[in-house]
Amino acid sequence: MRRALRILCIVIATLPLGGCWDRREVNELALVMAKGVDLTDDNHVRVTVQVALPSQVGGSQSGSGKGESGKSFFLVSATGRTVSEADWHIQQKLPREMYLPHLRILLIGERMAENGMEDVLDHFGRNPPNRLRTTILVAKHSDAAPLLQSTYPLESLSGEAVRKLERQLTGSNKTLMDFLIEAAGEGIDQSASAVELIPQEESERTSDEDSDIFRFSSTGIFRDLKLIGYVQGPETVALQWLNQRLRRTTLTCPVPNMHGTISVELTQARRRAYTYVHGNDVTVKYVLLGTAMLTENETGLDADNPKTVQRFQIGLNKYVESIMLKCLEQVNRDMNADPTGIGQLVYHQHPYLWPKLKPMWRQTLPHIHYIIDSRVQIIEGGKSGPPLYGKPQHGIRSSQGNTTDSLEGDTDD
Amino acid sequence: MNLEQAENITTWIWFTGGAMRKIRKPKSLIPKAPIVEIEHPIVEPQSVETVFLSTDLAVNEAELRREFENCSDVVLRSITCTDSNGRAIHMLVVYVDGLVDSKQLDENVLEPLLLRQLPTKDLTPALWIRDFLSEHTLPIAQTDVLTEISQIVDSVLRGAAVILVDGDRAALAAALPGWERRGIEEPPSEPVIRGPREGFIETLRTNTAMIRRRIRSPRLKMIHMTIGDLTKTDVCVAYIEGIAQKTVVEEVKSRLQRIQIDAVIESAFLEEFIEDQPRSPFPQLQNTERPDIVCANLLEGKVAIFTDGTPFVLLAPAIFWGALNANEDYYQRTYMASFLRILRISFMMISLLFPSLYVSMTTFQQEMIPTSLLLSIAAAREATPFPAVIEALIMELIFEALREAGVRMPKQIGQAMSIVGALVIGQAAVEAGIISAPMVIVVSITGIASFTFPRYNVGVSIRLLRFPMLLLAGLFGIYGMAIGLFIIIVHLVALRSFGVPYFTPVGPTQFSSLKDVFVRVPRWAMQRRQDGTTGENSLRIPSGQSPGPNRGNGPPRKRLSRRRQGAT
Repeated sequence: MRRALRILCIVIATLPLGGCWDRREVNELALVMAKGVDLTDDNHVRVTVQVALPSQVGGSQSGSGKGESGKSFFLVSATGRTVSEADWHIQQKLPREMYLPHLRILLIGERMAENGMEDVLDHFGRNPPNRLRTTILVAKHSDAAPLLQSTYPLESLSGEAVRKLERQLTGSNKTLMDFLIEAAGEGIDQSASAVELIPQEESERTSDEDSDIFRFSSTGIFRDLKLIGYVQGPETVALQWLNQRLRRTTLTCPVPNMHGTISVELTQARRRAYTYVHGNDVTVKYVLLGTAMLTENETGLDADNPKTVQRFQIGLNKYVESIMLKCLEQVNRDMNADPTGIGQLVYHQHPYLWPKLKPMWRQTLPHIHYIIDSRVQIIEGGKSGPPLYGKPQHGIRSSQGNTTDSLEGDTDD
Repeated sequence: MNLEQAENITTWIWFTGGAMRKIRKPKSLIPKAPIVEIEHPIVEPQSVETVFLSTDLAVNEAELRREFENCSDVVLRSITCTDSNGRAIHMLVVYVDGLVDSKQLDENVLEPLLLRQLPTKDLTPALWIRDFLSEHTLPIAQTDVLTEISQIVDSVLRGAAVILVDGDRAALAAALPGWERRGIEEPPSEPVIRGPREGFIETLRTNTAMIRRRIRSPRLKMIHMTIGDLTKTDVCVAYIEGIAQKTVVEEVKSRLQRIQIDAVIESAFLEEFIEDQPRSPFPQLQNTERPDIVCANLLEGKVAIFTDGTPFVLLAPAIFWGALNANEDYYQRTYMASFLRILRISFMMISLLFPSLYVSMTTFQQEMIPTSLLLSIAAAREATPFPAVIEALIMELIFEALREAGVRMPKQIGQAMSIVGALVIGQAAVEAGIISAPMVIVVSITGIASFTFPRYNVGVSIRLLRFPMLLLAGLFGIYGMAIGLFIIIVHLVALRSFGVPYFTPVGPTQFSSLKDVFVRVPRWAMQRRQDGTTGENSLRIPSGQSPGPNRGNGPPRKRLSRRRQGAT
C-alpha cells in the first residue's frame, strides 16, 4: 500500500516536471482568418494577416463590452525572403501566438501571381498548421493587402465574406488542395477565382463614407503557376462547369426567333468529356448535363406548354454551347493555357498516346477541335404558366390552341 | 524472483485496479498463503454453555431476568391458570413490548389461557406443551417448542411471545410479530410513469411476499440466512431454480456465509463483502427498491439478496449495460424505449467526457472547433482569468457540492439553496467575468447528463471518473482523454461480477443478447434469456408470436393470385 502510494506520487510528480506542456488557452492565440501574400518591389514576400478580434466578432460577453464598435479584425503585415520568414516577423509584432489552422482564405496579390507561385506554394503544402482546406483567391488588379483592409457590412470578417461570396455564386470553393492537385497534375493548368474591389454604386451607399465592395466576376488563369489572364462573366461559369465545380448558377439567354429572354436557375450541373486523337489532331467532346428551373420568362409564352418549354430548352442549350465555346477558345487559343484539363483527359483516356502529345501540348492546344453537346433540361416552369398579367402580343392565345404551327405562325409577326 | 519482487507485482495489481491482473499475475511466483480456517468467533458467551430449562419456573424466570437485565422493553408476565382438574398452573409469558402484536397476544394467548379450561396436565411436560397448548388451545399459526434459554432469548427478540409452564422443561414460542411498519408506497428513488407503484419496505417478509405474489411457483426458492453477530439480521437469497445458474447461486451463498460482521444495517454492508473487485469504481451489484425489477431480474436468472431492515434488495450478477436500462423501457413501446436507450448511452458519454472534451479542445486542439464557434468561445474566454482546466474543475466541484447540499438539506431549504446556487454559478460568475459562459453551459449539460442514469450507483461512478478524465484532458488534451478512456474500457472488460463478465453482451460479444442493450426489441421477439446470466433453461417465449393478420384461430389467409382475381 505504502509502496503503491510512493509510485503514485512519483508518477504524478513526473507529469508536470516533464515540462511536456503545450497547453495554449484560446485567449493566448491570435486567430488568423485571412492571409494575403504580395510581392514587394525588391522581390521579397509581404505577408498580411487578418487577425480576428474575438471580443468584436463572437457573441458579446457582457463583461467585455469595451464600447469601441470598430473593426472586428486588425491587420499585421511584414516582409521577408520567404513566407515563413515574413510570418516570423509578423509574430514579432503580435503578443499572442499566431494561429494558422483556422485560416479561411489565402489571397494572392496580382503581382505575386504573375511572378509565379512556385516560391510560396511550398510553404503552404509543408508547414503543418496550414490547412489545405483554405480557399485560394487572386486579387485582381491589386495587391492582397488593400482587399483585406476593407470591411464588409454583412460579415464581421471580410475574409469570411469573400469566401462565402465565392461559394454563393458557384456553390463551391477552390481550396488550396484543389490548386495543388492541379499544380501537380498532368496536362492541366491552374485557375483560381479572382476578387476585385470596386467602388460602391450610388444606390448601395448607406452613409457618406466612401467604401469599396468586393466583386467576383472573373477567374484567374495560370500557366505553369504564373497568372496570365482572366476570363470574365459567363465564361467563368462555363469554366467552372467544365471543371465540374459548378453546383448551381443563374443563366439568362435569348430564345431563338423571339423577342425577350428567359432566365433559368441551373442545378445539378454535370459534364461528360470524351477525347479523340488522330495523330496530332485532338478533338474534345463535352456533354453538358443539368436541370434548370425557369425563373423569368420575358417572351410571354405559356411555360406550361411542353412545346414552349422545348423551345426554351433549345435556346438555353444553344446559349450554353456558345459560352462554352467562347470560354474554351479564349483560354486555349488566346491564352494558350489548359485550365479545363483537356490534356489530362487525353492522358486518362489515351494513356499511350499522351507521351507523344505531351512535349508539344502547348502547340497543340490552339488547334483542338471542340464538340459541345448541351443537354440541359428545363424541368420546371416556375409558379405560373403564362405571365400572370397576360401579355396579349405574344403567344398566349395561340398556345391555347396547343399546336406548334400556330405558335410559330404567331411569333412571326 | 524473490518475495519482494512478488510483492512488487501485487503492488502493480493494486495500482492498475486489477485490470492487469490476468496478465501480470504469474501464479507460481506468488507464495501460497497457508489456508487458515478461521472459526466463527462466538460473541455471545451465554450461548456456549447451553442452559436447558429447569422444571422450576422460578429458576427459569430468574435466569431470563438475568438475561434481560436492564431491558425495559422486555415484559415477563406471570399468569396462573387452572386445568380441568382445578389445579393451578403457573405460567410465564415473555415478550418484547412493541415487537409483539398486543391485540393478538390478548386474544389468542392470554384469553384462552386465563378464561378457558385447560386440559389435564398429566402427560409428560413436553408433550403437554406441544399437544395441548400448541395444537388445541392457542389459535396461533406459527409455534415452536423450545428447550434452551438461548433459544427463548432468540425467539423473544425476533418478536415471539414465549410461554413457560411451571414443571415443564420446555417452552412454547408463539410468533406474534406485530411491530409498526411503514406503508407500501412508490419508491421515491425510482419513480415511473407507467408501471407498478409498489416499493419494498424495511420488513423482510413483506418484501419476499411481494415477490412470491408475482412469481407463484415453487421453483422460486428463498434461502434464509442470519448475518451479523449482534443484529442477527435476516437475509434471504432468492432465485428461480432452473433459470439461475447453480454456480452463481452457490457462489452467492458461500460468499454470504463467509461474512463475519457485528451488524448489518443496510444491504450495502453485504455488498462490500461479496463484490468481486472491491477497488473498482464500478458497482458490481445492482440494488433496487422495486419488486418488479427484482422479478424481472430473477426471471433473467439473477439472484436477489433481501436484507431485513432496508428496502434495498441486491441483485447479482450485475452487468454494466443493465445500468442503462430502466424498468420502464419494458413498459413502453419499443421505439420509445430504444430511443431512450440510445439517448442514455450518448448522455453517459457526455457525462463522462464533455468537460474534458471542452478543455482539451480549447487548450490543445483548437483546430478541431469550427471557426465561428471558436470565435464565440474566444470572445467568451477573453476576460476570464483562469485556465480552462481550473475553470472546469471549479465549476464541476461547485456543481457536485450544490447537488450534495441539495440532497442532504431539508426540502424547503434545499429549494432555496438550489436557486442561490444557480444564480451564483449561472449569472454572477459569468457577469463578473470569472467564469466563461460556455463553461457554464458545459457544466450544466454534464449535470443533466449525469442524471439520465436509471441506476444511481453507476451514475455516481461515472461522475467520479469525470475528474481524473478532466485532469488528463488538462494535461495531455485529447491524447490524455484517449489514455483515460482506454484504461476505463480495459478495466470494464476485465471486470467480473460473480464470474459473469461485466461488459457482456458487448464485451464478450453475444449477438443474440444485443437485442436488449442498445435497442429494446418487442417482447415477442425477446425469445431467449440473456446468455451470460442464465442457466440451462434459456427459452422464454416460443417463437412465432408476432401479432399479425395470420394469427388467430381462422385458417391462414391465402393471397389471391392476380390471375384468379381477374378470372372471377
